[in-house]
Amino acid sequence: MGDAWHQPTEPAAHTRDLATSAPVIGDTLPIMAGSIQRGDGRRACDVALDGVVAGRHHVAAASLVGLAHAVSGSSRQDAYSFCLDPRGRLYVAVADGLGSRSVSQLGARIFCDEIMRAACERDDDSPAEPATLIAIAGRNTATITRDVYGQNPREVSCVAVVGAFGQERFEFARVGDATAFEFADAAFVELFDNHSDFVNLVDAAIPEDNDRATTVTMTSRASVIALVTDGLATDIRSSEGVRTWLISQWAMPVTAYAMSESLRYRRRGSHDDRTAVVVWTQIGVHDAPT
Amino acid sequence: MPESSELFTVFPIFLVVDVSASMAGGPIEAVNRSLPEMKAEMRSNPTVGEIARVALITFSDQARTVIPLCDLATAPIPELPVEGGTNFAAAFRELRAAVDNGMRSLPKGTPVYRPVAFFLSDGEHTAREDWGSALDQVRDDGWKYRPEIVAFGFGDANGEALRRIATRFAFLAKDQDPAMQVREIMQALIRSIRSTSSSFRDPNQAEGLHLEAPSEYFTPLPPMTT
Repeated sequence: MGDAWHQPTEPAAHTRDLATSAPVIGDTLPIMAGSIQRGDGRRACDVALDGVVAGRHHVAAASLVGLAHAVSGSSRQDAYSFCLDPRGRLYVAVADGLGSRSVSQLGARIFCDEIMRAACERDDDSPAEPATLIAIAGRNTATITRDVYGQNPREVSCVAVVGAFGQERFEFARVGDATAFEFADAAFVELFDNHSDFVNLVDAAIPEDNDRATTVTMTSRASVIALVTDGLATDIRSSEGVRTWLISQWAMPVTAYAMSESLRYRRRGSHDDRTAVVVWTQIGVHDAPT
Repeated sequence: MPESSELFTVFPIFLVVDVSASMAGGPIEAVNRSLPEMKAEMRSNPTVGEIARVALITFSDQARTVIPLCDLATAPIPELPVEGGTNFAAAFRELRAAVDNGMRSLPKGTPVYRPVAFFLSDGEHTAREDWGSALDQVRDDGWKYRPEIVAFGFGDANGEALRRIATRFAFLAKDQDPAMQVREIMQALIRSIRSTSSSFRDPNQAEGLHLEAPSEYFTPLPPMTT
């Protein structure tokens, strides 16, 4: 890895932190303490974690507040959720609130919840298509935002990726730059095309563009799939150090705390929230989860 | 273009500063005091210093790239002297070259924010040549690296010219004292870099850049629609 890869620094003297073996990549500046802003009644917690067996799959998930949000006192804007529908199909949603909208963390959270509700409360026995779920959940997000929270739906905009893991195939749909990777043969393969010229701009969001989802499908197989927000996706695309680290961390199914550890690396310029829901599919052919 | 296995995110910022004779005294002194403050911000705030790359271009009768796109935290900051007249065309030609050179110097595949140019002037174009075609080259929609241009005017700056130069945001400083005006502009600029560096994405490109120019100190000029 050369000079870009070195051991982590000690945690700040005035707080106690858990030891980590997560790497520090590149020349980094000292981290400032996190804070919160006055009057922010919609703040999301800094960390969310999971690590469970879900039907035929193992799912581990983590969402960690980014340095930029922690330092400025603004809320983590990512959210995730996953569920098994009544027939045992796994659905995953990962959303990322837009930084320029005042309460986008609320939109990301509502959207993920509405994806789960739409997947589980269907009358139809056929698998729900992620693009259809996005359209339904996006509309519901706008309605709930306006009618329950009294907010302009524009103020909760987010981007999202949704996955459905069926018996025959896996299907993924997204709006904006949230994305999905397959981890195979010690490498990451991005399932969506990445066309973005600039990292601080996206061309579509929910609820404005609910019907503009892009879909990809793959045959159901034993695999490891990660649905992620762009804070992590950018690092996977642009950092050999991060890829090497995650490959070592996700080589087998992990617990909630091990999933948290996998996203605790420090990398120069990587300050956005990091969120990943990792699915070890058809775990009968993987090592059993610990 | 160098290759690298580690491609760190970059927010490219181009400062285009008027150093014509009318900047003598308080205004140029305010600029010279503010640049080290910007450097200090780069060295102390990881959310800015780990992302922002800054270039400094000055213009009077001619324009020069005083600091090419770089990590300002490690760059020597020169004392800027005042020079002669005011040539916007030279400024825009130099800006286009500095953006091209700066962006091409980044390793291939580097994640980048859309470049931003902050244009500061206290007067009007005084050279014989027309500056419109040079501006068009910087605002060319077909140019891959076309920057967002934010124009700040003070002293005898022409509001209509600033509106024409800016892609979206143009401001006139309110304070009576030109030195204070420059000071407020440089503070607004630092705050804008800080808030844009720590914000992420918007489908409406107008909001890809976060301006922090309080109305207490600045009069926003309406964007030119043609």
